[in-house]
Amino acid sequence: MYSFKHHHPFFRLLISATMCFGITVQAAELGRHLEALKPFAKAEFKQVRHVEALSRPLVSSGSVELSATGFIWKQAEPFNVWLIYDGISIVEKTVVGGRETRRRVLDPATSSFTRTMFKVMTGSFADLQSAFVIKPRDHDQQYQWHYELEPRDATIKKAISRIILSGDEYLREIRIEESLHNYTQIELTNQRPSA
Amino acid sequence: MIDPPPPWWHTLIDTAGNHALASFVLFLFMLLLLGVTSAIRSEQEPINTDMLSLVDFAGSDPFREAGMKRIGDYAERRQTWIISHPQSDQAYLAAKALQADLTDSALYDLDQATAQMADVDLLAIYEAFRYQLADDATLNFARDGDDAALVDRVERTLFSNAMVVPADTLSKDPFLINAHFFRDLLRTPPPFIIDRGFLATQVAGNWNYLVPARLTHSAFDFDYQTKIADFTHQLIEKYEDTVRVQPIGVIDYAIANRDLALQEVQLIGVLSIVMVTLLLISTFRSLHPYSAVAFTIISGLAGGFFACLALFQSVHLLTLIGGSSLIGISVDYSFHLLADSFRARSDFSGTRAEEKEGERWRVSLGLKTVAPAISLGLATSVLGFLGLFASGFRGLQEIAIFSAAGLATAFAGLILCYPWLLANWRPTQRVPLTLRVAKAWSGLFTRSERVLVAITAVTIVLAVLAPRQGIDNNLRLLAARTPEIENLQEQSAFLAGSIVASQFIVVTGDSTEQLLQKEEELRALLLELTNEGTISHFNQLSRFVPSAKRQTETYELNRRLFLEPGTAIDTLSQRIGLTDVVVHTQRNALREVQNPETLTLSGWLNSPAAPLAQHLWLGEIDHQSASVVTLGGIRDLPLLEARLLDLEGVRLVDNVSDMSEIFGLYVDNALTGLAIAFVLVTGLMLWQFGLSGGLFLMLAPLLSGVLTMTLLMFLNEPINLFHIVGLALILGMGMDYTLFLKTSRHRSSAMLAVLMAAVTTEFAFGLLSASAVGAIHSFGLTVALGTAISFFVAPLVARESR
Repeated sequence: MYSFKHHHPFFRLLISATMCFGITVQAAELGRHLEALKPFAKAEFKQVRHVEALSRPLVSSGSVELSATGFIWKQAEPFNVWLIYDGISIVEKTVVGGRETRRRVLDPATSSFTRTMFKVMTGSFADLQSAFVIKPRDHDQQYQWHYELEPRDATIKKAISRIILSGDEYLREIRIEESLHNYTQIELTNQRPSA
Repeated sequence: MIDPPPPWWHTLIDTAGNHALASFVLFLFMLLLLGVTSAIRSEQEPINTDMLSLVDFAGSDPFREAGMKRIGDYAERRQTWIISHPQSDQAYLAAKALQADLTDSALYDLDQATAQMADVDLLAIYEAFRYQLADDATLNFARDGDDAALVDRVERTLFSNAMVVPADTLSKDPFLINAHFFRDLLRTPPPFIIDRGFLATQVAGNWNYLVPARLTHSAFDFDYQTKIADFTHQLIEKYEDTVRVQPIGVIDYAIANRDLALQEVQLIGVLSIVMVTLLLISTFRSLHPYSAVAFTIISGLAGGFFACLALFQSVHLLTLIGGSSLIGISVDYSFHLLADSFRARSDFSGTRAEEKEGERWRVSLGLKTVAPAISLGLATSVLGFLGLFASGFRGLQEIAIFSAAGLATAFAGLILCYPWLLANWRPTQRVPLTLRVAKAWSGLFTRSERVLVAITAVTIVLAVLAPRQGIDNNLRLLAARTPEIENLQEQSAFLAGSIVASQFIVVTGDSTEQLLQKEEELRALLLELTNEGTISHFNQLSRFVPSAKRQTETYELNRRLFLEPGTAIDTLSQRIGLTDVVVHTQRNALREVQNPETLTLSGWLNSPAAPLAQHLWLGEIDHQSASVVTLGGIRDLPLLEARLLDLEGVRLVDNVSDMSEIFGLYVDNALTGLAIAFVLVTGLMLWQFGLSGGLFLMLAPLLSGVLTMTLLMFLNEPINLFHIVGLALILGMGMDYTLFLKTSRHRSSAMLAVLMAAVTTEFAFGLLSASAVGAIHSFGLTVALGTAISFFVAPLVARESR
């Protein structure tokens, strides 16, 4: 007898995504699909930011460490800058000439963005649904699934038109679009699962 | 031989007795007249529940006063709803729904309250002045001529994720100078974050989302309080299954205090009336005396209330509570008159003549007997209250006027209304239990001289041995301490250090420009203190409106960065790859701005951004511009005070400490007032009873007062203003009891009057001593102790002074 639950989780996810294409996924359903997403504890990242006003993209790289409550964004290139989020506060740690400086991040836009990133990386899609309309998109050869997050809030919409997430068993790519020519692409590689 | 003419007050009593109904109507007419006068004079809200309105700041520094008033008014109209849930999204959704409920209710002005930074289009407001706006770090680099540091900062900011910079910002603001200015402007007070327009923070596993609201009416508007209280209950019930909802604001404390005060007024009033009823019915076995006493209580309270309203335009709730204890005193005169009806049976074996006199007892006859004692008693009480009036403390003055006018009304009611009210009353021929008790009590004082000496000696010894208590000038005495209120404080504890502290800074300058410059100088110090952890944050006007000097400096910096040869913009362009279009556009735009218009404070105050900080502007006071700098999360007040000491035109205002200082001044004034009252009463006694007689009579209130204070010290009660108010009352009552006993020809009936007066007073004030409001507790305990002591001392002094 055919049993849906015996399929590979990602197969289930793909079927669901196809079935629900074009319509907003119900919260409960979405939560079930993304339960399959493997959480990671550590990954490498490469961030490429395209800005219309600049003739070349801004490229940075490093690693990210993730826990149940927060994450550390350890940018190594081109500057050594850490962004530490403990679930409540955000601290920027810089090391210039061997001197370490810590600064608490208090501007609302950055804190909002950081919390969204945390939810995205931990797969807390149910939480994200209150702020974003989440729609599945067509998958391609590179990734098994894509999701598009469109901000519900007009203020956030002014800054971010949409976020596109792609992946397989792990989240692999985050694309944050401000406008057609202004966007940031973050590639996550070498994910190591949580213990 | 011709009989001497009767004294004038005999004639008055006879006239009132002969025209009983007319006198009664005249009294009602006078009371009505007072009521109408007070109604004309009264404010829209006759009952005042604002505890701080009792503190008069007259004579203090006008800048401090303006600052305290502004911060007080700002805080008074704000209410913050805290929505808590372990899941942030649950809390957010409920906060959003609750915000809609608040808007729909029409009880709040949400447009003002939710003028969050994110909702105001700051970019549009500041667009015309964009070359004049810079953050502190930028200007510090500029002053050091360190343009390279500015370029480095842009590069680091763009690569890092620690500051969100929208892509289109770069084309208008390549050095991110405006971006950093706005970042500084939009920073949230720690430990809060802004989540989708709401301030939020996590405490003990719960996410707390704040929904700020602005009240449409005063937090002390009685009707409005009722509407808010009902609405609050509805909302808490509506959300109780999903999230925890807790409103915090001055109005919530005011409602809690009001409810408690009203409960206490009702309880004390009802129990006192029950006690008086039981005493009267059991003693006089008739409803006539009862209705007469009820009339005295009601007319006394009305007289006190109307007089207070006519003089002060409103009556404070604290006065009503204090005034409700008047029930226990205003009936003393009635008791004295009614007890006189037992004069023939006071020794249980009256002569035939006395029995006849008893049968013939009439109100006018009784009034003539007791009038000297009660009029002297009234005079001493009024003098005592006049002493309180001299204290200058609004709360004490209200109680003084309420009580003095209430007693005077009760006295007038006795003379003018009792002949009609008791016209059909025939005093009972039976000897009641209370009279037997009074007689027995009176019999205990046969060896009064020795007892009096012993009590005096014990009083002196105890006064010497008593543990010394400090004076408590804490303003919290005015507020109630109940589990509900403590819960409110506990729930909002995380808000306390984070929003606006009760300490703040007032800055003054000869002009608006000088004021803004002084604020900017102050900012350097406050930033230092923030980094050291002495304070967690601050807010000031010059963050929103830089001084003209600073605006010019920023404009010159922009010209240097963009237009001078070998400019920093070229270096930046090479480093991050700015397109030529952006560079040229910026250069041309800046060239076109030759004499930029200055952003002025008056212009900003008329802009849509004004609600964000207009409360910080105090305006022109004594030809000086003044503003408030609010502080949050103060961890070391003495250090802050020391660091601000040398700054000219900068005053640290400590609301709590300043008010407690003012409170302390009132204690001194009340003590002086009490001393004046004592001297005046002594003068009255000397005039009436001669040097030795008068001085001896004063022993009663003196012993009662000293022994009461001594006992309070043994009870570890830190002495405060309200104990001293109680002493004024003891002075009046102690004199009343002594005078009743001294001037009465019928000792047992006089003792019955004192017994009934003491029992009712003891009952009313004993109840007050259990109040959750510190001030009322102190007042009640003092009078309860003083009454008990007076009840012992008065018979001794009265007997010995005969």
